[in-house]
Amino acid sequence: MSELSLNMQSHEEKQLFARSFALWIALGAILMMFAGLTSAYIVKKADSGTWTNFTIPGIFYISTLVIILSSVTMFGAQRAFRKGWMAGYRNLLLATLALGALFLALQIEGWMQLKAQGIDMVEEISGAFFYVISGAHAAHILGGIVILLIMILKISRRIKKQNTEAYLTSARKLNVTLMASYWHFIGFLWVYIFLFLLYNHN
Amino acid sequence: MSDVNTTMEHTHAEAHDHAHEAHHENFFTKYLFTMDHKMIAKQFLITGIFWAIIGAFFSVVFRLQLGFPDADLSWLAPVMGRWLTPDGALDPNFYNALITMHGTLLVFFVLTAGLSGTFANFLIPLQIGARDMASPMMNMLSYWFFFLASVIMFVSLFIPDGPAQGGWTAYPPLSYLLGHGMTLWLLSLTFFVASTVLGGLNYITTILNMRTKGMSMFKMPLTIWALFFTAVIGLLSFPVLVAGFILLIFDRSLGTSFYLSDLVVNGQFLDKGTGSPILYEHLFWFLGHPEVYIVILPAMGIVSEVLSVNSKKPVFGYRAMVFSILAITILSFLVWAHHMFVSGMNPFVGSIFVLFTLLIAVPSAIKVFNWIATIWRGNIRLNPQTMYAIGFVSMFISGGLTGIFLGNSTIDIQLHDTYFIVAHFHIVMGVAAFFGMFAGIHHWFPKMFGRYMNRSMAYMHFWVTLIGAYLIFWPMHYMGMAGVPRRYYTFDAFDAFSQFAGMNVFITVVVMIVFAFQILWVANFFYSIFKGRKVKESNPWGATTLEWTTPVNPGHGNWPGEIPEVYRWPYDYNKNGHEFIPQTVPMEEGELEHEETPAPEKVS
Repeated sequence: MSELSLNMQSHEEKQLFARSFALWIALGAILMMFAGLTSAYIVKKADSGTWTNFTIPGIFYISTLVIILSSVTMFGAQRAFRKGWMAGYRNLLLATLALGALFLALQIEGWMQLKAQGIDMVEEISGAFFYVISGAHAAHILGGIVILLIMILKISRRIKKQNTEAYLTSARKLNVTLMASYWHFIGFLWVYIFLFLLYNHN
Repeated sequence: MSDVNTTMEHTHAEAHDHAHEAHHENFFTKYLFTMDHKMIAKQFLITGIFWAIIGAFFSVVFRLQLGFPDADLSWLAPVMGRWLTPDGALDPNFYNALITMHGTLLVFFVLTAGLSGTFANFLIPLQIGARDMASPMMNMLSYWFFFLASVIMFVSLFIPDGPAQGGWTAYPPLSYLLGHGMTLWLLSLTFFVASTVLGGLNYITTILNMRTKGMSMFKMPLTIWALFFTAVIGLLSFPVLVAGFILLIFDRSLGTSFYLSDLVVNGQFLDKGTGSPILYEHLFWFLGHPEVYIVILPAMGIVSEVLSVNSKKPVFGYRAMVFSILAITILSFLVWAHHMFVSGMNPFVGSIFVLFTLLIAVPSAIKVFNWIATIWRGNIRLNPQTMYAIGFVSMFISGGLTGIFLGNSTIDIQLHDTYFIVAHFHIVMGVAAFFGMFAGIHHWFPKMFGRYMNRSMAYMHFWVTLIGAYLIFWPMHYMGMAGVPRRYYTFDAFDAFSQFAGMNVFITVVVMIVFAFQILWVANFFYSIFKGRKVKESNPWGATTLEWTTPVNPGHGNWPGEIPEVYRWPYDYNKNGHEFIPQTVPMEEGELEHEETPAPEKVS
C-alpha cells in the first residue's frame, strides 16, 4: 500500500483495509499447513518400498468439477451484490452452499470407494495420507459452509425487511469480498491437492 | 530532559482519554475480556511470569536430583506428592516429566507467548502510532487461546499418570507410547499455535497497515522490525508444526502409523506398519529451529532500542540491523536439519545444512558488532535495562560461539547428546532471551504501570543472574566434551562420570541461589506495580519514539487528541546540540537525516 493512501486514512478505514490483508496472511498460514502435509507425503513416498499404490476413485473428478462450479456461482454472487441485486445474491449464495454440501457428500462417497479398494487408513500409509490430507481440506470446506450460512441468514433477514439499500456499506462489501476470497481459496486448494494426489499417488 | 517536547505532554498527561469515556467499564471488560492492546500485553506478561516460576521451579527440582541423587526429598512431598518414591527419591518418570515441562513451558509459554506476546501487543500500536491493533477482537482471542492452552497444560500436571514425559520435542515412537499427559500436551499446544497464529496475523497486519502519517517502514524503531519478522517466522512455521501434530494425533488415537514402524516395547512386539519417525523430526524442526529465532528476535529488537536510548547515540548501522534480521528470517527456514545430524541423514545433505547454519553467523555477528558500536563512546547510563541489555550481548556472544562448533556436523555428532548442547542453547536462547525480556520490562515498566521498578533489587538480580548463569552453564561445556550425556536421570551407573559429582553439586547450589533471586525479581515486579515510585514525566528515559508522547497512563486509544505525525527516524540522539529529538519534531530546514548538520560558516 502506498505511503500516500496510508497517510490519508482514518483509524477505522485502516482497520477495514487491514481485515482483508489479515485474511490473505491467514490463507498463507493455511497453505503452509498443507505444504507441510504434502511435503511429508513426498518424503515418505520416496523413503521406502512400503508404498501401496492405489487408484483414485473416479468420483473425485466429479467432486473437483463441483467445487470449481461453486467458485463460478460465488463469482456470480459477488457480481449480483455489487450491482445491488440482493435476491440474486442470496440465490447464488444458496447455490454455492448446495454445491459445497454436494462436494462434501461426494468426498465421503469417494473415501468409501477407496476403502472398498482395500486402502485402509490403519493398514496402508498411502491411504492414511490420502484420508488425512483430503480430510483436513474437507474441514476447511465445512468452515466455509458455516460462513456461507451466516451470510445467507443475514441477507435473507434484510430482504424480508426490504431495506437492502442500507446494506451496501463498505464494511459489508468487504465482508462479502472476504467470504468470496476464502471460498475461492479453498476451492483452489482442493484443485492443488487433487492434482498433487493424481500425480503422486503411485 | 530536552526542551523540545515537554510542554504539550504535560497537558496530555492531565487530560483524560475522551474517546472512550462513554464506555462504562467494569472489572470484567477492563481486566479480563479487554480489547485494549496494552491490557492484553499485561495479561500475556503476567501469565508468562506465572509459567516462568513453575518452569524454573521444575528445573530446581531436577537439578536437586542431578546434584544430590541420594537426597531425601520427602520434605517436598506437599508440593510434589506422587512424584516422589516412598523413600523420598524423585520418580524417574517424573524426572522426565519435569524436563519435558521445563522445556515446553519456557520455550513456548514464557519466551514465545510471554516475550513476543507482551511486547508485540504493547509496543506495536504505541510505537507506530496507532490507536490499537488492526483487529482488537482477534487480539483478545489470541490471549484467550493462550489462556486455554495454559489451563489444559496446568491440568495435565495433576492427572494420575502425570504430564507429558517425551521431551519438549515429543519425538515418536516415545511420544506414541505415553499416556494422557501427552494427549493433553498435544491439545494444549494446538491451542497455543492458534493463539500464536492469531497474534502474528494481527501484528503483521497492524505494522503494514496502521502506521501513522509519516511513519515509513524505515522510520520504524528496530523493536518493530524485530517483532514484524518474528510474526512472519511464526506464521510460516507454526502451521507446519500443526501438520506434524495432526499426523501424531492420528498415530496416537486412530491407529495409523505415519511415524511408527515395527516396535519392540518391553519385550513385546507391536506390529505398527511402515512409518518413519524421522518424518516427525523434519516436521517438528521445521518449526523447532525458526522457533529459536521467534524467541531471540524480539529480545534483539528490545536490546537495540534500549542500548541506543541509554547510551544517547543513534543505533549503529540501522539498515544493516534490519537486513540482518531479514537474513536471519530467511536462513532460519533452511537450517532445521542441523538438529538431526545424528538421525542418520545423508552426509551430503548434512553438509548443505552445515553451510546454511554457519551462514547465520554473518548476520548475527553484524548485529553484535553494531550493538557494541552503538554503546562505544556513548554517554551510557547504567540503569538496570542497560545492564540487562549488555548482559544479553554478553550471553549472545558466549552462546553464539559454541553454535559455530555445533553447526559443524562432524563435531555435532560427537557432542549432540551431551551437556555441551544443554550449555549452548541455554546460554544463547534461554538466558539471553531472558535478559532481553528483563531489559524490555524495566524499560517500558513506566509506560505499562506508571511506576518505576526498584533499582537496587534489579541490580542485585542482574549480577546474581549474570554470574550465576555463567557458573551454571560454563562447566557444562566441559562435561559435554567429556561425554556426559544429557537427559539422564542419574549417573550412578557410570564410573567415568563420577568425577563430575562435585560439579553437579556445585551447579545445583548455584541454581538454587539464582532461582531465589528470580523470586526476588518477581517480588520487585509485583511490588512496583502497586508501590513503586510514581512516574511524573511522560518521557523519563529521554527517548525519541512515539510511545513516550502519550500521557503517563495512556487510556484506551493511546493518544487523547490527534495521533502525532512522524518526521524523522527514531534514533536522533546527540544531534545538532540536542540530547534527543523526538520523532514528532519536524525536520529543520537544511537538516540532514541520520547525521549531524554541518554548522553554517560564520560570517566574520
